[in-house]
Amino acid sequence: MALRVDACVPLREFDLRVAVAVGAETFALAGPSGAGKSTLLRAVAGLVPGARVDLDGEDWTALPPERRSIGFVFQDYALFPHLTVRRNVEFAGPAGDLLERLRIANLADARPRELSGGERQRVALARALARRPRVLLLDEPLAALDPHTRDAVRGELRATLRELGLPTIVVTHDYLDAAALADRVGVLVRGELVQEGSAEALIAAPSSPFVAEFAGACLLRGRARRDGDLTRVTLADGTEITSTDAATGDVAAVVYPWEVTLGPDRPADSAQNFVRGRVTAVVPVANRVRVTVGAVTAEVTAASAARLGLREGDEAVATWKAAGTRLVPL
Amino acid sequence: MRAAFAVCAAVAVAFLALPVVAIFTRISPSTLVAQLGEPAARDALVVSLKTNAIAQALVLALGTPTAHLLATRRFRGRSLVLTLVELPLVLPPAVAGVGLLAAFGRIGLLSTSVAFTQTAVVLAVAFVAAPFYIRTGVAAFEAVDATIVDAARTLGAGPWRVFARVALPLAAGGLGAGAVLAFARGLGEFGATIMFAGSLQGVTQTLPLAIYAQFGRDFEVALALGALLAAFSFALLLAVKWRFGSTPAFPFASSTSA
Repeated sequence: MALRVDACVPLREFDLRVAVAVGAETFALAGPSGAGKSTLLRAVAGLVPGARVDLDGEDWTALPPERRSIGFVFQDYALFPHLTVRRNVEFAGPAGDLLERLRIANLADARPRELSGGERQRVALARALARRPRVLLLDEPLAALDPHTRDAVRGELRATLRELGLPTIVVTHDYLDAAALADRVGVLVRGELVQEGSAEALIAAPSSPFVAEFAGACLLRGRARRDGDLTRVTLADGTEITSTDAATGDVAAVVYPWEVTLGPDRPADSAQNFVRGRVTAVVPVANRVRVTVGAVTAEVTAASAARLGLREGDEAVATWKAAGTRLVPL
Repeated sequence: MRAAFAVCAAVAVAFLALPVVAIFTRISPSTLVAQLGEPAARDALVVSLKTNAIAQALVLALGTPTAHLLATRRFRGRSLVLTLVELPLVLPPAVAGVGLLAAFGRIGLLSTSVAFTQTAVVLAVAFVAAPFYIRTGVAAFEAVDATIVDAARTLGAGPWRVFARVALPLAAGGLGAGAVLAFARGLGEFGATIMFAGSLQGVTQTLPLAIYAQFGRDFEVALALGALLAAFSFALLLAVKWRFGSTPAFPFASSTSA
């Protein structure tokens, strides 16, 4: 199953030129506002002309939006204000168990204006799924939510997308959302995909200062459990790190590269997290250098990198504070 | 200063309310009802209701798609079309009457035989009332969130279904207000009707024309018909205020003309 898009849409200051193939996976389209992300989604949906679209060899290019099998979740959700939640969902097709699955059955008779942000998001998703789409497009699905709701909804959305297994494009300007939701991230700047890869690859080797700034944080996925006032997170390779945030279950530990220091040995202070491993990448970004040790990337000055003399394959220890480790539920 | 302004306001309000009050004080409720039973009054009522009902149906049937088109499409000459639609709003009624004769009269452009028939009343009413409906309708359709319309498309709805299930219900408030304004304007139509349709009792003599015809003959009938129209207008105004919170913005105000 693959969605192929070849878009060439003139925008005000530049052209959007993107060719991308999305299999049964979630592809995050990230980048600054005005880069053309939403336009690309609209072109795939047929709401603006200019994109050749093909799903498994079926050419959608000439089809109007209503005949493309697409579930579109708009940034502000675009729910029908004059219809109840149930009617919103049934506008697209039979609701089936969607109301139960997305935990909005108790809101079936409510109008959109009576709902919270998180509830609207779930209604928008249920409505998009009610037409049994073969492709999902989500435009900033978390942007309208407050930070606390956002953490919860991000995890739910991730689970839902995994379960559906549809070719999905998620537009976001948030690296954390991109990393949490997507298998692959493409960074769109001024209408062009400047880099494409896993969230980890972007942070380890950003191709431009913009990508470096966008991919601001390392994400270490693991399982959290409480230990007194602290939270211990066991990473996939067995490494245990500590955070002062409270969380349990699947989490991403967020670590900023400029808070990570590099050295030959583990720290003396036990409040510090550390990862020992081989250097897998040394990438200059402007006047700094990104050095990846295992799953952690450190950003250090070029001078300090030269002093350490680190090269790929060398053994090193990356160190950072437990207090500076944010935990995000997945 | 406040006192001076209060005096001005009192004078203005009194001046505006006085004629309406006068109608109802000059005639007792029982005389009013009795006078409305007069043949001339009953005929005028029937003609007015019939012609206005047909004219309104025409205005809604043609005006709704027109308003939607003007609100959702950008094309060359759109501002010109909008201006043409607005023209009858500012046209002196006598000019409208002469124009309708020149267009539909026996020696007119289309040379039809509708002049001085009930059809002429319908055309005159539709001519003056339609702009009120179309202009408010354009504003109402323009106010419908384009993203919601896009959402409906992506949910599998074709253009007809989007119009019927999304655009129309969301614009219904504004369209309703426009229809009420158009109805009020049409019911009071006088100048264009008397020139284009004449004032033949039972055929083309509407309520305003009957008031004019009766006031020299039987002032009490004129008063009774005046009271009826005034009460009706007042009821319409109240209905709009109750339903929409305030009098809808007048057609010129909102909506972009670019």
